[in-house]
Amino acid sequence: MNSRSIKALFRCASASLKAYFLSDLIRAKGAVFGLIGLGIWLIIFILPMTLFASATTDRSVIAAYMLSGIMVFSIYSIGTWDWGWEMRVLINYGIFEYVMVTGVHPLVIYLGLVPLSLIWILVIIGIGYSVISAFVAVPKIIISNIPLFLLAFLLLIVVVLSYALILGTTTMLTGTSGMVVEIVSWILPMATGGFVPLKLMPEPLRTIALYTPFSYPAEVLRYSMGISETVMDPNLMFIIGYAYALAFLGFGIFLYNYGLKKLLREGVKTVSAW
Amino acid sequence: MRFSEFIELVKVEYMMVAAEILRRKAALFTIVAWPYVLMLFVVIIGSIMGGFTYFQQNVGVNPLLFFITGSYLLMTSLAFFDEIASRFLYDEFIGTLPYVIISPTSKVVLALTMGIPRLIINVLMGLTSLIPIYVYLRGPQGVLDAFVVILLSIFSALTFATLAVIFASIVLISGGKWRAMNILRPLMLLLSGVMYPRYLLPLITKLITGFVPLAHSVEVIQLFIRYNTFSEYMFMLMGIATALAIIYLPISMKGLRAWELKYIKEGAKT
Repeated sequence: MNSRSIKALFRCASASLKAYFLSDLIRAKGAVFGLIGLGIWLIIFILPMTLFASATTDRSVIAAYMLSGIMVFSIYSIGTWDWGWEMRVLINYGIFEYVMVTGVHPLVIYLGLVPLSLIWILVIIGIGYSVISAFVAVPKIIISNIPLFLLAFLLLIVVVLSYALILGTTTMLTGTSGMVVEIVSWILPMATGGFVPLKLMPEPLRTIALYTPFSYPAEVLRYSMGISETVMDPNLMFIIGYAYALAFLGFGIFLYNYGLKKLLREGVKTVSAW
Repeated sequence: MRFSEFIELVKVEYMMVAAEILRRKAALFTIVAWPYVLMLFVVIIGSIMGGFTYFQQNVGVNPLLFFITGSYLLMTSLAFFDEIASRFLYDEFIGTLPYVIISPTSKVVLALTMGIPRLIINVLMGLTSLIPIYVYLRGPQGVLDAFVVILLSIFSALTFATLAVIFASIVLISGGKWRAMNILRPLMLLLSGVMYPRYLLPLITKLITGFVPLAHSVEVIQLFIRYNTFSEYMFMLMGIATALAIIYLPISMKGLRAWELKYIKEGAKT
């Protein structure tokens, strides 16, 4: 890749970032409405969980579990609804064909979309922290190893991005049902240890979770935040997690490119909403 | 409008919704699975926070029973609001709203008709969600209890319909569209107490819930699954829910009419 094509890549990325920023946050007032809605949804689901706690339970520990759950779930949701679902939006609005004829790889759009999503994730975590502090307790989080925390966070992003590529390709090739996607987006974090430390999960579910790439980043992330211990040696989990994530990303990109080739042969399909 | 015409309208709406759901098997699967997913979500995470025993001490009901009922009510109660607000928005999006507006059918009647098929389908969902869990926890008595809850959920949805039309009108008139809907929807669920008993809510929030018919009927259901009987207090709550529904009726009609007039005056937008 020469300097000219790198420049062109940056230009595409900054243009798409600007476009998403303007359309999602400014023009649609998505920031204000989205954050209010999110705050209320969090209250709806956080309040019932407090009913399970005994009077002697340390609420700050519960709050820490909740915050890590929100963090992981919001990243999964963004992977599903912002990154995977974006393919449906591009196809339905007829934008995808235009992107294809420019000759630029459609994944460049994600270079603009991902930074915006990361801003969202930070805001969601902030709101989650405030809601939990107000309704439960101030979360007990100790990040003793900041580089490990950042690498674990990056690992989670890589895994979710790979999952989004697979989801996007499925949408591109077959058209997906939004309802099924919605269910998957709830089941996946539950079944793969997104919400719950693996050591607290039943043995069969824990084994299944360890076969997926999703369990490793969530487990290491919780460990780096001082919330829970990992089921294996943390360093080993970290290494397996990265190896698995990179293989998963490779598979996601391969599948996406295969989808593009098929699309060029067969044309763009109609994608159903639900 | 004659009653026979109203029934005809319900039939047409029902065929459309049923055809859509039967055609999309994934949608049918989701309708059946959704209450279980929500219940498991709360119960699994909640059990890590403490345990079923503590929940039972705090609320007086088994959490599985409480949350399967809550998840079911969550879908059933909002049938009218979801259908009215989203259908008109969807019609606007696909360009068919002008045709709906120029049709001679009263939009208020149409709006009230829209919710009925979705309500019927969601109520049928009670058979797949409530009955298995109720029977598992309460034995054969669970079937009867589940049917009582299903009947009460129909009462809840119907008494909430008029306020739902007002909220749907707010969504349509405000121009906030999906974004406004995404705020009002969880707000109504929070105020109704489907997932968290309203008597545990802060005082100001509890006072606001007094104006929401759904909150009263949901409390009746929660009391029924706890005590398995009807008390005078529960009948009083049902009376309040009915009275509120009647009070909100003229406002809901005016609200929807105001949106219709606004739409006619301003014309179709893309």
